[in-house]
Amino acid sequence: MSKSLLRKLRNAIIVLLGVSIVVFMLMYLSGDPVALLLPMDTAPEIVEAMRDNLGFNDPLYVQYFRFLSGAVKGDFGLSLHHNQPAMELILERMPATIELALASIFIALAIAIPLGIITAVFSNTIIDYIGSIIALLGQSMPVFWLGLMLLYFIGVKFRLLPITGRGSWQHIILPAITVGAYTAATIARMLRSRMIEIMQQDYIKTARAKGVRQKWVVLKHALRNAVLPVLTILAMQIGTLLGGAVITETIFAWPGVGRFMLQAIQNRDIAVVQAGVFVLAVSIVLINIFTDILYTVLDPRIRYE
Amino acid sequence: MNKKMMKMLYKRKTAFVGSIIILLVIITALFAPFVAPYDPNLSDLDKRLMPPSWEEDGSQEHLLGTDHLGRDLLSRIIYGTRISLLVGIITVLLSGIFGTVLGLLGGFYRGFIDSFLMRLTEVQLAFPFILLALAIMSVLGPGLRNVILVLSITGWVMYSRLVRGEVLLLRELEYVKAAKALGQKNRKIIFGHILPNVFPTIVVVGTLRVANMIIAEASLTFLGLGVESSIPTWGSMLADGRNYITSAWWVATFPGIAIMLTVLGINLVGDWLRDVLDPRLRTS
Repeated sequence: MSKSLLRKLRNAIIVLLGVSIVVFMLMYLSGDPVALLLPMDTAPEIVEAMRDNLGFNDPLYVQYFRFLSGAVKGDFGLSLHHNQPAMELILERMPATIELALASIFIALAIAIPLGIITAVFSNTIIDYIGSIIALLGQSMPVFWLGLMLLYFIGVKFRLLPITGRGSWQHIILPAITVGAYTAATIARMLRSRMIEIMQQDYIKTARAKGVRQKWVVLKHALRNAVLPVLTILAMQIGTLLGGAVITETIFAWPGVGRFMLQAIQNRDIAVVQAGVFVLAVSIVLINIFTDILYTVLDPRIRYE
Repeated sequence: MNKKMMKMLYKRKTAFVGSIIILLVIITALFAPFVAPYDPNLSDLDKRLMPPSWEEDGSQEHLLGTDHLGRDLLSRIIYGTRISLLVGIITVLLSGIFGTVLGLLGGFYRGFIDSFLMRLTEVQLAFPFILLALAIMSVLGPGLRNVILVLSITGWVMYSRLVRGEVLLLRELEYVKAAKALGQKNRKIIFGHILPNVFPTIVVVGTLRVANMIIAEASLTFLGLGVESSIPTWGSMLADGRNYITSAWWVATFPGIAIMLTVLGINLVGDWLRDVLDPRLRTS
């Protein structure tokens, strides 16, 4: 296990270095970084002096290593629009995004697990068809459209829940459903097919032959073995969840990293974009490592492979 | 599609429904000027935010109502199919070809090329897809060509990973070893022997990815960093509708239903194709 874990850690470091190169390149893709800092009619000598002063005339690799040493310390420079350290601005908004991501995972599982079990237990019946259609629709809906519909029907028409901002627990329900719907549908569909497969295994037949009640056969024997792929899907969906959060935070004016980054992208506030993209990418890499470790805890077979 | 597959398609009701939806969308896109009741950009400010025909203030002239500039929603949805399909199909073709070639090379040659490609895919997968697309779009600027470019750049990873995995299995099979022993060139082995066996997988993933790309284009346009606003697209209609969601629900509702039905149709057919074309399922 330790050998494979070390290999994974080595790969993660390589990936993080790759991430840092992409984030560094973002600055250059957006044109002349110095031009973004100065008014458009600045004299060329002043632009050149500024470029020299900020080190943009140094060789690219020197600039990259300077960027990397800053990134390691969380220093991405000042935000053009807020005149505050970019990293500080991102970290201030991180709790709201983490809160939304956790709530959406909770909602996704709360919908997916019962839906997956019910459609599998009642497979090829009307219950299965209705459940499967719901899951399919969930996978086919654009996140932002679902958000708009919830906002209108639940928030505006029936006034059941608040539609914008963050504060009480009611504020998070609509954004969390919006972000979690796709993941819920994906997990429910996977869980259904995995449960159907498992229900035909010999050990399930044995449990039944021993007189174990249906409820326990499903929950204790079948579900337990179908849960590991749920973890895989959840880990794979982290990127989708965070991507969905960018759009959802915008719709519901949720004060998280996603909404802030979209504003930064629109304002070409490159330091904030770099800090935000870096933080999210590093989070995804770390979550993947954590999931790998969790696998070995949950499934001892992996430990011995 | 051969006769046997047609029969199977007819037998599986969900896939049949999906194929009918796709067919309707394609026909609508191809014959938009003949199907649409109005010019999609024709505005009539006297008729702005008119509700659908079945609502109290609705008119039979505008079946699904009008938007904030008095443009006919149905006509705009009909023309919107063109952009969605265009973006979906072209991005899947571009990213599919690029990803497949890289996956074939990495899986076949292994070694440095493979390690490099694997790390490259992992780096790309570390970024939330839509965020990376947004960041690049902000640099390139909005526009149909840029949307296609960005979605193709960010979409190749899925194919390369999948194809690489398949190639790793295929390269150990007898017929590939036999081809090598007979002295065939690597290029011939890769494209003549391995590619045909990976192709069904690519078709299945490609079909399902068309749906993802349609949603991605709509998302970028919705956020103001996609296709130019002068072109009627489902994403831009939703962005317009967002501003009037409290007073005119229909502006955002119907384009969303159009996206959902199209994506549903593609997913239904994609699921069926996976079951039919995936060799592991076919033999069981």
